[in-house]
Amino acid sequence: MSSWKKHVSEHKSINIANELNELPEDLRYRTEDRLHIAFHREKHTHISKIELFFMLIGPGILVMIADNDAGGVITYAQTGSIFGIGFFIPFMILMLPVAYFVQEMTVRLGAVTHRGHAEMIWKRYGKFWGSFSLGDLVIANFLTLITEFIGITVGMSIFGVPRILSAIVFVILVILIQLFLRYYTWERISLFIAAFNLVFVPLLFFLPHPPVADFINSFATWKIAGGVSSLFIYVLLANLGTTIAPWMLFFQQSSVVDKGLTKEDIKFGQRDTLIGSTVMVIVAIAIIILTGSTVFGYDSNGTLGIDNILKIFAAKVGTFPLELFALGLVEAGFIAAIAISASTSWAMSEAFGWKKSINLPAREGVLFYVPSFLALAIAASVTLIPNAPLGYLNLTVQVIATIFMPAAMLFLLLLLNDRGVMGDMVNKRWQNIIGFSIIGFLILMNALYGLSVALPTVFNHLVGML
Amino acid sequence: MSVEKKEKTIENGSEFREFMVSQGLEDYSKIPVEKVKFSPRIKIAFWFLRVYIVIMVLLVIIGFSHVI
Repeated sequence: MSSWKKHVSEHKSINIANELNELPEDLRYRTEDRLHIAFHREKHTHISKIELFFMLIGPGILVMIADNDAGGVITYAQTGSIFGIGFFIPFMILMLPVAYFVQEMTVRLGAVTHRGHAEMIWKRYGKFWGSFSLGDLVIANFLTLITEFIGITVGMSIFGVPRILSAIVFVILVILIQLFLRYYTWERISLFIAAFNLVFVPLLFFLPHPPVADFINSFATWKIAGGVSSLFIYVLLANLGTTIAPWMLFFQQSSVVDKGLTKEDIKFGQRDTLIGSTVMVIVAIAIIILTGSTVFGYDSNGTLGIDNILKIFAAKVGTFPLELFALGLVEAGFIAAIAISASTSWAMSEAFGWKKSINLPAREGVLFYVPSFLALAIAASVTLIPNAPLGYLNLTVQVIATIFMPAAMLFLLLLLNDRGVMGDMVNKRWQNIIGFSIIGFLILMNALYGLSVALPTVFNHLVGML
Repeated sequence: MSVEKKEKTIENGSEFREFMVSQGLEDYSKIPVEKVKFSPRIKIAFWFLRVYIVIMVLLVIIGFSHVI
């Protein structure tokens, strides 16, 4: 047993104040976190094991719930409104193992390399692919942030808060959280905010006629209302895009690195990711059921933007459920704005070799914080532009995420198969088969989308409702 | 400092460094990462990726222009 471990296992105090004080501030916070974890790991009591579990989980749950972002909530709401309770219920359940499998790889990569995704691509595959991946991420993150502020401002408007006020307040809140909380507290506060994502599940009890039979039948029939059309392909891609997206890979890997997880912690990271994937899918299905049983089939004069969906939803279930839905929408936008801006900060800093950690104090992390804060402010401003096609923009963002996902997945799989990087933690054969099958499925879906754009008459219906 | 107190502390810098290394708490920006040499298979995959991206970006622009 190594000498430091012996001290820890014998519950002896570690007087390392001097050593800690010599460390840079960001590393000092992480070292203190790791010391707590080391003590809990060596205690071997039931309580310490439970405490250790709760200390080590976080990035997986956070990334998955942040993925049920305002854009995601709007997409699921539009999905239920357009296609009802059918194909997309079993489809979302299929997405659970897909999301878990993809994100689990980032846990291993981060814990083994102690480097973020952007840094690994940049350094291992060169500047061209590094800049491509970073550019793709930054643009997609910016567009996604716009959808978060669409959700926040629409949700807050239900409570009578003017859009401009809610946009400003939430930009400031996100900036304060990033700037003044250190990683462990930042993660705990973010998880607390993320917990409100579950508000969509109890909302099901407010439905006047719970669609239990439709829900069960959906697994037997996989019914697609209106058949396979351009719109169906588009919405399918949007649902894929909101379940697995490039920013999630970057976010979780950087988060694992900033938290300081090691090879020893991988199994905790895997459980964390599994819990997160399960919660994500449960919430997604709840939202599809909510609008699928209230808004689906309703004459909406050809528009199914979130404003219109909420109006119809309120008419069917009443004001209180509408307010809960709006609260969920605001929370979804808020938590995702936190996660996505962190993802931009991490990725840019990793690529350009800047200091990179949520543990960085403001004075040392100007380059780390400022780009994502600018993106936040601009994205919030865009949502205030009158008559911007926000409903369509939302689905387009998800579609773009799906289009770039095969590229992001390819780099992930290359890295996970790189013995020079992963050592004996490389992907196993079955993991590669699943990984490349997911890439193949994404490319097939994108090809179908391409076909529906280039030859729209191939399908029965055109994209016109959005 | 008493003998007992000495036993209960980690004052040795090497022990602390050992802890830091075991917990991945090094400054990784100072450890270089070697650029990978592209095998023919990876080169083909990357060319496929370039073509795929160009086609998909064009299709998204066409799709979006239909709506605008």
